[in-house]
Amino acid sequence: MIEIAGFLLLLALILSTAISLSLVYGLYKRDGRFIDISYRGSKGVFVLLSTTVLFMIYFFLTDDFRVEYVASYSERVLPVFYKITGLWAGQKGSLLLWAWLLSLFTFITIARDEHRPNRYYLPYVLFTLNITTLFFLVLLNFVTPPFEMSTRVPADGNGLNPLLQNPGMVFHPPTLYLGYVGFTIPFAFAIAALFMKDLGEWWIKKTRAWTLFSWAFLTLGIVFGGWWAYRELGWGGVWGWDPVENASLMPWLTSTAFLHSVIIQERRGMLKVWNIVLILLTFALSIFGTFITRSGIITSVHAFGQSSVGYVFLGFLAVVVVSGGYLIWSRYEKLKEKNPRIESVLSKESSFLYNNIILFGLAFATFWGTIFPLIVEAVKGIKISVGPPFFNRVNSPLFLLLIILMALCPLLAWRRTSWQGIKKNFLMPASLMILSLPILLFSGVRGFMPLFFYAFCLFVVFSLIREFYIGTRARVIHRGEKWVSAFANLLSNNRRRYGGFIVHIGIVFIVIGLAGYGYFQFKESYTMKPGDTVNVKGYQLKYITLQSVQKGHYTGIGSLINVYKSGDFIGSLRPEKRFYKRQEPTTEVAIKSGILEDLYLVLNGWESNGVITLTVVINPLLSWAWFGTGVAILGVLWAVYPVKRRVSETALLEKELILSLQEAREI
Amino acid sequence: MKGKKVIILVVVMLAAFSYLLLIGMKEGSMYYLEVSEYLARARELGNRKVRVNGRVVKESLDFNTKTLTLRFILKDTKGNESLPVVYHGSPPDLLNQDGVTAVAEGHYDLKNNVFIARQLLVKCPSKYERKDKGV
Repeated sequence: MIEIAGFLLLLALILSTAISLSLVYGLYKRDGRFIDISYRGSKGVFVLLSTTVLFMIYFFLTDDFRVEYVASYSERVLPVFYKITGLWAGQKGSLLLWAWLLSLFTFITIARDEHRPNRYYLPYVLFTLNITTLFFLVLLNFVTPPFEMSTRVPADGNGLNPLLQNPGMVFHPPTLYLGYVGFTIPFAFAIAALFMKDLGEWWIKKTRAWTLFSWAFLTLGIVFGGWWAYRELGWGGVWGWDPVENASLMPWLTSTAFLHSVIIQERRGMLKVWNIVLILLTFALSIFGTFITRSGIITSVHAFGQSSVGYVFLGFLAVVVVSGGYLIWSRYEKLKEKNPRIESVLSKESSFLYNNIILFGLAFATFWGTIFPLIVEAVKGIKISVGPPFFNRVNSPLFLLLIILMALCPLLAWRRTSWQGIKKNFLMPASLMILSLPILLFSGVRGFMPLFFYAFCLFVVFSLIREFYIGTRARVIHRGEKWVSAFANLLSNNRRRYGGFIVHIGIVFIVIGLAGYGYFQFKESYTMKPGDTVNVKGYQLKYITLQSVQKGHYTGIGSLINVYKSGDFIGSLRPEKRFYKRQEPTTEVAIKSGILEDLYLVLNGWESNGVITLTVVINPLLSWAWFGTGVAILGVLWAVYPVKRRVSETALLEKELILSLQEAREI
Repeated sequence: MKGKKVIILVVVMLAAFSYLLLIGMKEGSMYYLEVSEYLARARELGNRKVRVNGRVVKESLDFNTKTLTLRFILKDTKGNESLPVVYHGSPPDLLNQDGVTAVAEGHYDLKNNVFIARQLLVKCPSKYERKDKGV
C-alpha cells in the first residue's frame, strides 16, 4: 500500500515531465495534438495526486505508523479530525497538499477553457502551472518523500504537538494554502501574456475570479492565524510582526495592490507593466514566505522544523524572479506604448495610484524589517533583531493613510475632480467626522494615533453611506423605484463596485478591532486563594477552586472562576494547563468574548495549597475584527457572484471576437 | 504641468517614507547577542535595549508568587559565562524543561548587576517536530 502511494507520486512526476516536453514540442512545431495530450496529461496528474492524498488520509485514520510521517504527527488516541489535519501538520504533508491543490486548480483551468474556440493562451498557461507542479513533485519524490517508511515501526505515534491541537489547525493552514496556491493561476496567465506579447486586459478579466478567490482565502488564512495566535500563549498575540506572520502579510499587501491597480488598467488602459510586476511579486512572495518558514533562517516564535527544503524554495524563487524579470524586460518597449498619463492629482485614478504606492511601501517596509537582520549579519557579522516597534512606527501611519484614501476615493471623480466637486462631496462626511471627535474622546479614546484611526474609520463609513445613499436616490428619482428595491438593484447592478465597498466596510471593522486591541489592552496579574474575589475594570472575578479533569489524551488542571459584572453573574471561566502523555504541557486560556471587549484569563501557576496566579487581560473591541473579516468575505462573494447569463454570454462572445482578432494579427 | 503635480506628490511621499524607515530602524532594531558577547559589551551598551540568547539554568529558576517576579540564570550556549535575569510576570510555558534556550529582551541594571527582561521568548528545539526518532 505505502509503496503504491509512493509509486503514484513517481508516476505523477514522470507524467508532469512528459507534459512539459510535449507542450514545448507542440508549441514549437505548432502541432495541436501534442497540446491536447498535455491537457489530458494534466488531468492525469490531478487524479494521481488526489489518490496519494487519499492514501495519506487513510494512513492517518488507520494509524499506520509504518509511514514515518504518520508516526511523527499522530497517535492512536488523537481525535479523528486532528488525525486528518495531520495531512498538513508537517512539511512533507504540507507540500503534498500544496501540489494537490495546484493540480486541482490546473484541472479546473484546463477543463473550463479547453473547448473554447480561441484558447491559444492555454498551452502557455499550462506550461507555467505544470512547471510549478513539477517543482513540487521533484521535492516530493527526492527531497521530502511523504511516504517514507519508519526505520522501526513504533507501537504508537509521536502525537500531534499540543499547540497544534486547536480548531485553528483545522482552518488556518488550508485557507492560507488555498490563497497561496490560488495566486499561481493569475501568475501563470500573466506569464502567458508576456510570452504572447499581449498585455491587454484579457488575462486580468480571465483571472479576476481566481484573484478574488485567492485574496479571500489568503485574508481568511491570515485572520485564522491571528485568531489562533490570540489563544495560544507565547505566540505573541493576534499579530506580533514575527517573520512568519510577515511572510503571509507581504503577498497579501501586493495582491491587494494588484486588485486595485487592475481596475485602472481595465478602465483607462494604464499600469500594464505594473500589474504584471505585482502579480509576479505576489507569487514570488508566497514562495519567499515558504522559504522563510521552512528554512528557519530567521528566528521566529512559530518555530517550524528546520530543513534544507527552504533553500530549494530559494532556488525556485530565483528562477521565478529571474525568468519573470527577463520576460518583462524583453517586452518592456512594447508594453509602455500608448500609456495614457494620469491627468490630475485629485482623481479616482490618482487615488488608486497612491493606494498602490502605500501598499507597496507597506510590503517593502515589512520585507525590509524581516530581512534586515540577515543583511546586517552577512555584511557586518553581528546579529541584530528588528522588533515590533519598527513595524508599528513605519506601518501604522501607512495603514492610516490607506484608510484616509479609502474614505476619499469614492468622493473623487474619474480623470479630475473640481474644487467645487470636492467641497460638495466632502462636506457631509468630513463634518460628521469632526462632530464625532468629541464622542470618541468621551468614550475614552486617547492618543493621537488611535484618535486618527477611529476618526478616519468613521470618515470611511460616512463617505460610503453617502455613496450608497446617492446611488439609491438616483434610482428612486430617475427610475421611480421604491427605496428598498432601489438599494437592492444598486448593489446587484454593479456587483464589483459595491462588493468592493462592502469589503472596505469589513476592513474598517477589522481596523477598529485591531486598534482597540493594540492601543487599549489592559493586563494585570493577581495571586489568589480559593474564595478570593478581585475587581478588575468593572468585573468581579471569584476564584472558586482548582479542578483536575481527565480527557482522552490529556489531563487538564484548571481554576474555576465565576465572573460577575456589576454584581450580576455572567458566566464561569476555566483557564487551565494541559498535560499530555508524550508532549510538553500547554496553557489553555479562557476567553469571554463580547461586543465591547474580551475578558481573557490565563492560569499561570498554582501551589499545593490551591493558591493560584491569574493573569487578567481585557481586550477592547477585538471581536469586531473577526466580524469585519466575515463582512469582507461577504463583499468578495458579492463581487464574484456570476452575473446574469445573458450579459455574460454577450461579454464572452465579445471577448472571443477580440481574442480571435488578436490571433489573426499574431499569425 | 499635467503629470508634474502627481510626480511631485509621489516624490514627497517617497521622501516621507524613507524618513519613516530611518526612524523606525533606529527605534525598532536592537542587538541580538549571546550571553558571552553581551557580557563583554554590557558596559558599553549601557541602558540600550538588547536581546540576549542563552540556556536557562533549570535549578536557578525562582518564581515569587507574591511579587510575580521571576529570577533565573541565563548561561551561554557554548561557554560558561552566566547572566542573572529578572523578569516581572509569570514564567512562560516550557521554561522549566531541560535544555531550553530562551531569548530575554531588556537592558542591564548596572547598579544591581542584573539583566531586567521585559520580554521572554522560549525556544524549544523540538517544537513541532518529534523529539526522539523511532520511539
